[in-house]
Amino acid sequence: MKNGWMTSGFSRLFAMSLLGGGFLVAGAAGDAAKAEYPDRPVTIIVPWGAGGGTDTIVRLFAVGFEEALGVPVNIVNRTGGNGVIGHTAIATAAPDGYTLGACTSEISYFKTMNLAPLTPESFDLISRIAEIPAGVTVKTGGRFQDLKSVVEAMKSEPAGTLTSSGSGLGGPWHLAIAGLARMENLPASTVKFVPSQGGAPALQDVMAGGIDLFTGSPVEAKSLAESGEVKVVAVMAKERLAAFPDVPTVKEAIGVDWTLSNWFSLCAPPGLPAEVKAKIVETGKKGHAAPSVQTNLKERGITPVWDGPEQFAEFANAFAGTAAILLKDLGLAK
Amino acid sequence: MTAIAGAFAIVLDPATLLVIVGASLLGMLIGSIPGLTAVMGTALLVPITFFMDPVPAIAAMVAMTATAIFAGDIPGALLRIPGTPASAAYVDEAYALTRRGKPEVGLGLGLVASTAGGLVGSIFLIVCAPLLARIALGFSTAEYFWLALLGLSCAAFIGTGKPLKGLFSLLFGLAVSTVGLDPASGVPRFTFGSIDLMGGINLIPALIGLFAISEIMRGALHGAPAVREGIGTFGRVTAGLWQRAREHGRNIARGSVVGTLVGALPGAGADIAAWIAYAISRRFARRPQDFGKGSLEGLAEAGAANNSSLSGAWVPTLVFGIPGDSITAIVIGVLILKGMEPGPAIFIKQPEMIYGVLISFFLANLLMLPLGLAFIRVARHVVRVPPTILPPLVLMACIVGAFSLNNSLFDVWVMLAFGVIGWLMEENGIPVAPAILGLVLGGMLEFNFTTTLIKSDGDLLAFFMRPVAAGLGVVTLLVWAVTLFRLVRPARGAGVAAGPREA
Amino acid sequence: MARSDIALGLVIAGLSTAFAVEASGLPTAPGTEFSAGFVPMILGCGGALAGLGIAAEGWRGAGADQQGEAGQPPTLAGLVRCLSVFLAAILYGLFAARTGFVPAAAAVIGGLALVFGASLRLAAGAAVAGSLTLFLVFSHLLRVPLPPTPWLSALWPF
Repeated sequence: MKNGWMTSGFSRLFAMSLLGGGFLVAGAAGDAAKAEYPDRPVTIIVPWGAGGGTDTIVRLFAVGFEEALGVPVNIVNRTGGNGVIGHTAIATAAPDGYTLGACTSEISYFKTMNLAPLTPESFDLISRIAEIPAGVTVKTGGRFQDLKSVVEAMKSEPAGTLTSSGSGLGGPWHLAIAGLARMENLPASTVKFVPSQGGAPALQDVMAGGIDLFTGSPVEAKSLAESGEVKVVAVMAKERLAAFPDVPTVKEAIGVDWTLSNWFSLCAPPGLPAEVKAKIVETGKKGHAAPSVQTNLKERGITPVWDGPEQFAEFANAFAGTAAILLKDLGLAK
Repeated sequence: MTAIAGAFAIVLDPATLLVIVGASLLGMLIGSIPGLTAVMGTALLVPITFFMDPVPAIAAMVAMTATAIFAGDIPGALLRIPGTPASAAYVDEAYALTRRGKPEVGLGLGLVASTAGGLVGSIFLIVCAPLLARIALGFSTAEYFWLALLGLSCAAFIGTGKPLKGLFSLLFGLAVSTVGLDPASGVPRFTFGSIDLMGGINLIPALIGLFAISEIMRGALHGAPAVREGIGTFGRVTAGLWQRAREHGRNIARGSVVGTLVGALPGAGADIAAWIAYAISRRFARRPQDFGKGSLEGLAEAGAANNSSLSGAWVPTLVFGIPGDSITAIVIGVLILKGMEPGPAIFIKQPEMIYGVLISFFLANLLMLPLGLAFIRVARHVVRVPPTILPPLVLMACIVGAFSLNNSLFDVWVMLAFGVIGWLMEENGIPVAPAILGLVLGGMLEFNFTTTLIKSDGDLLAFFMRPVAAGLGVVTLLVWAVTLFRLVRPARGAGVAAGPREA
Repeated sequence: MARSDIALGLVIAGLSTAFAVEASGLPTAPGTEFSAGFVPMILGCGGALAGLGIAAEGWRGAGADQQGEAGQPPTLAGLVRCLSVFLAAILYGLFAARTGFVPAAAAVIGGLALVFGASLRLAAGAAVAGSLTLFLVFSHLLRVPLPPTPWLSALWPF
């Protein structure tokens, strides 16, 4: 319908696009200030790849969030650099409530590991959305049958004999095994951690006999465990998981109170206007509580969590403290 | 038997068929736009599948990826821009045919090879998934290291009369793949303080830059966009196609098997499958002198391999819940959501579902033939676009394609930079294809090298301590020995081997 | 007569050496056996050797057949066209966020088409059709967040 005037002159269009730019931006900004939040689509930046754990969780949550918010919610993946790039993009976006992010546990130790000047304070923390506990998984028919035998080997054999994998160096699943060793009064680096690019390749290497332990989420090992290829010997959670009712917690298995979960959250660039933040917290909570979101997350062995800004900030800082101690012991803190 | 009948009933439901056709059309679009890959298309389908029944949901992903991998050949053949990385291995062959005024020959054979590859891969998936999965999951880091090195050494000196320049191109690609945070140690390398560079150089903008932008630059500089040479000659795609397909039956069969096996290995997908198949076809070629000038053997073999690898990737996915490539990594999530928990038991617990999925593999690949022919018929108009407006349109499509990979302008700058690099390389007689191979395999090579040494405390013997690793290692070293021998000989005698190169 | 290959080989050798030197400064992460620069150093040294080899071949005259089809020196018009391709892409990168995708893309396509010698009509048609098609495909069908064009979405809210 407007092809008529547009084809009439290329130069006109060109001039308009260049000269009109500033004017248009000003107009758009004025509109946004006037209207009540939200009046246009909201974007959530996911710092990890499409189809991965974080991406899946956020996409499932976004279905409910979108309904509660009343505008479309777009998921955008900004990957690379162990999450640094995506998290930087979230922290530096305009704090208008139209760009949100999915911060993961990495924000508690980017700075400790000297990867980026990012800490939990670099964001407006909204709430955790979900967590996935770590576990210990071994190959069926190998030298370990339970967590007890694993810990005995950790104590009796020279440091570095046992190997474990599941994430990059200093990643959550590395902290999981390092923390367990520390709780047993062993050096954090007792079990040698072999970096891997995600849970699946690490599990595969456990099956191929390349490494001894997978210390990532048991959820990723579910199919293999059911087919009898691997055995989940413990979960690092307070309670047993619904998906693995027969697998003991660490405390049940060896009497040591060690839990570690990787967590996923909704966050925003720092400095959100108060009423926008209140609206996001309110609609986020409502969307998160939607039955479809809850079922979809639980079906996949993910624990839904909604703890709100204050509790989440407290939690994130406590997590950062634990991570800093472990990373220092591992020699990864700089 | 009743399970199979039930499965047919599910798949042949009009709604399911409609989904397959729709997903195939989307796949054609995604595959033919540089920068958009089958992986992105799959991620795009995820929210849509929330509202579908299990079998149509999975069938949509199967159909979309199969057609996207084929459709990547189309801009490759017509514009020398691989639509997806899986088409990069043989893009020079397909484009050479177009420059000789026979674009329909390359596209037609590519379509038939893709279809055949997809079907063979599906058969493998149905017949011997558990066995294949068991083999694939026996691979540890040492085996993967040798596999990557073998892939490099097979193809290192491809398509060049100057082995040293090919070698440099390969090393350049490998070096580029080391930019960014080292996945093994977490150390930032060659980032010069840039946050964007910490994520490394993405393969896709580099690929678009090296092939497409450099081509636009060359065309602009010399006033004759190379594409123009193909104009007006676009014969019937089906003319002589079946005979050509039969002649290259051996290539298609071999490519399909190689593709399925490579696809079944977690961590190696369609792009690596195509390179390895291309290298094999070259080594055993009946007409080696055709390579680089439009070899139908290489095109058929690699074209079959990338499509069969898609099916191969489902082998470990369905049997053990371990994704065979980045597409199936996304698919696993959908499978679980739809109540189809992967595992050996899936064949017993839900036979109707699983056979429904397998039948849709067949159907999607069969459907690709007529849809592909129709799509080629539409796409060929590209060669008739006036050469004054084609480069601007292609440039803009490339910019958006590179941008959409990560929604970041950084990838657009990477694309432009690699456009200049690609142009400089080709002006100086350095082939760009080995650089792409280096980029594809570099990460896998170094990461598995490093992690194997971490496990063994730095003992290099670890690469030969496992039986499969030792076997692969010996084969790789033999290939190296033969290659070196061939390199040295023509330099002295300048006899037989040098002859066809100068032709 | 392969002077260009001698120069090329030396440039390659120099760049590769610089790469290897930069790599040699990389640290060793705890728990790993070699420094993060180990593999890049091998690559750099290999590149340097390949560069020297290319230079040596050029010295012996083995690269003489290289100056073929691409050999003619580019014309001034060619240089202008080539540079304008870059200029257009860079201007798009700088201004698209402000003007929105459709005007920026139309300017790039139309402007370049004019430089490439298209008639005003053809250039304008390509600019409008090309930018709108790309916008529809990427922004709507594929949900890529291209820079929005406020006045356009107000005119035509699809």
